[in-house]
Amino acid sequence: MALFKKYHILTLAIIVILFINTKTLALAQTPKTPLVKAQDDYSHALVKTKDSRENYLTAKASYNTFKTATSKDIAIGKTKDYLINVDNLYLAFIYLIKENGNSFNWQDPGKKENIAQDFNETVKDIENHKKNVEAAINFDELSTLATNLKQLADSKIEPQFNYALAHFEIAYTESLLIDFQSIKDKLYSHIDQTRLDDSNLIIPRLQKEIANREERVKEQIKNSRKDLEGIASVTDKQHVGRISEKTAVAKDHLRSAIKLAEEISQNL
Amino acid sequence: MSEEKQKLMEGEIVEEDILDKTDNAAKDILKEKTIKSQKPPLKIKSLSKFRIRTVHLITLGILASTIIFISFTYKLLTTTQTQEQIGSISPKIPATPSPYPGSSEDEIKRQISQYDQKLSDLIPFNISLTYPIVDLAISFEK
Repeated sequence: MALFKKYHILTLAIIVILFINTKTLALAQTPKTPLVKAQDDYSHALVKTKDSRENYLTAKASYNTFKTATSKDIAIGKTKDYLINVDNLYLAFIYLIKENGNSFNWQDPGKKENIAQDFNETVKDIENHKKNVEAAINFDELSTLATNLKQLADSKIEPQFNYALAHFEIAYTESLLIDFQSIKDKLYSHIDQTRLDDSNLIIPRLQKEIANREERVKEQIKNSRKDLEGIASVTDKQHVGRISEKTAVAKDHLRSAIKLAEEISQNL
Repeated sequence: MSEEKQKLMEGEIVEEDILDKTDNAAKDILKEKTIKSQKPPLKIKSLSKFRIRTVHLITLGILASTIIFISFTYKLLTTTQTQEQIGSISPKIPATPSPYPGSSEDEIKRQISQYDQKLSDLIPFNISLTYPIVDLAISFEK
């Protein structure tokens, strides 16, 4: 009998464990959004680049000390590994920028496509660079390839990134304004016009204030857009800063506007 | 000629006695054989233990497989059901809907609060996305 009891308890315990595991597995299988995946990939690429740089520096120091054929081979291998990881880091970064652009609704989807297209060209350049690094066999080639990558980063990747960032700020503020207007329209459809007489002036006053805020948001968006007119890339970081400041002001107006809308909803 | 034959001739025993004796001998041999062919009781006990374990293991396996199967089927069914519900709810929208769907007062209040939260949680792109700084000065001593 004791033997039977022992087996029954064991069976029950295993069933419970299996059940919990199955549930946990089912929950763990929730798919990641592309943006979260891009963020994870970029973080992973950053860590790998940092590690490979340390390995490159160690191998380089070893070669400079011993100057043996083996230490030279190791140094070449580690340098190649570092440069490939830098390439992968830039690729992960571009993927992350693109996914940030996909995370909200654009009023001008053509602009989003243009930005993505420019990045696709740069991705091809980085992929080619990676192939050249893989094929390199000596220090001179690797030094040249490192210089080439720096030039590509300075002349293309960074300005494209700044340009994308500036447009993201504007497009996102615009999407926030559209969302606000949709909520406002729904809210206004609940206002009983017959009650808006001389004794109830609070709602019209709030509506007027909201309209005022909306105008200011539009003005900031317009000014920011003007700031980017006729520009294909942004090499100056301060340029992005100026646009961010304007969109920040627009977002502050939206914050005030939503508070006013909340006040209306409480007075319905 | 044996002693038994002589006794038979003299009428001391009859044929049946000899036959009985033979039968008894055969019976003894048969009995002995049967006893030898029987397994000791200890072995019967260990065989039952083995069978109990096997049955338990099989039961355990069947139960585990059933639970896994039910769990996944349940998950699959609930997902399909949700999709079916989405499909079945859509056509049930009244023919003359409000100009702003989902615009009940509570729903609007919820949307206002959600929007407010969204603005509070906002991180500008120039803060959430920073350009990676990489040292690309690669050089070696000749």
